[in-house]
Amino acid sequence: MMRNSEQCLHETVAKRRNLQKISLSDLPMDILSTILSLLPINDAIRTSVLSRKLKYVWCSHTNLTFDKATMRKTYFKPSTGYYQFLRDHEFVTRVNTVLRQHSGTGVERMKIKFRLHSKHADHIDRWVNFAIASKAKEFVIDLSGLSKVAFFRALVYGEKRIVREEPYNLTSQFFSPSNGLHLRV
Amino acid sequence: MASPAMVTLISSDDARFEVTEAAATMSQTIRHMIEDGCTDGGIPLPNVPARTLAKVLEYCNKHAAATAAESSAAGGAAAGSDSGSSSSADSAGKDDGVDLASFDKAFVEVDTDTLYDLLLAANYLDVKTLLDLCCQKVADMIRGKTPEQIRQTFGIKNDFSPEEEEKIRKENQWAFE
Repeated sequence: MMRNSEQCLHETVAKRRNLQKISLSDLPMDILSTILSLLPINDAIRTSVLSRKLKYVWCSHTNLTFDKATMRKTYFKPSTGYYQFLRDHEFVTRVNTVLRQHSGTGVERMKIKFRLHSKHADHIDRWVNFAIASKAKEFVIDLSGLSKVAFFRALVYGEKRIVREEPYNLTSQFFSPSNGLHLRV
Repeated sequence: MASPAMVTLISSDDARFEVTEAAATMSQTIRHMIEDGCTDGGIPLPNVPARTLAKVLEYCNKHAAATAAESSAAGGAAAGSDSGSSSSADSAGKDDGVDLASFDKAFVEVDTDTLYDLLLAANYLDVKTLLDLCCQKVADMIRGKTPEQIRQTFGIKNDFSPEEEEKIRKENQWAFE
């Protein structure tokens, strides 16, 4: 009995402390959104499972960079380490998944840097459209060929896939002086 | 040199702080109040408790002094042959750049509760550089961590059922796997 009431008291005190204490989730949305936009998109997405309040905050991320560093998990896992080879279709699927969930507004900067070719044109067209629709102030797209490391890997593993594929052509119809998109290719 | 203009700030718990106008106006909110002539008897800040206001003012005093030193150093350099005093002002200006960066770094080495208080105060008072500094600190504390580690760092209570959490993870599995 004594113990119970003592426990009760402890709990009440703890509760009262918790009530006064604010948590990360209690910060205003615009502050949370600013914080998450300072993180690469993969780090930002991981905050979606933290709590209900934080579930969708990453969806208004303002600085979308899609490259081989941000399109995979970055924390260390003993079984796989940090680095795994990222395939074209994995990259494309991941970018599509992110853009499908994104609010589609308030994007300051969008950057895509990955070796992609004309066979991905439909996807790339959609990404360019997303950048325009979201009124991104800066859009950088770099689809240049294999990186030196990937080239070396391909040689070492005797891969036969080193073929110069047809480059993607950016159609100029996307750009008009009126949409104010600043493009760097 | 004339003594600098001072203003009085009043915290939510009625503590009064005398600060230079240069430090106080790092806050856009306070700047607007001064411009509107609402300074008689002190400027009330009903959203900021004394403990947080003291910390914010520590930041503002440091940065306002550094800005003043910088402009006087620039002035001294421009004046040229004003020998002794100009060289000392010059080196003070240079020191402040390094000094300020390490001051900022040390300034946000605080517990998470203090960091939240600073974020809310910097947001309300509209001190842009302080808000950026605190946001960057929180972002750095999240970077590269697993959700479990982030919850632990910030004491976030998981209010999802295991099934719900699994569903969210599945949607963006590549970021978690």
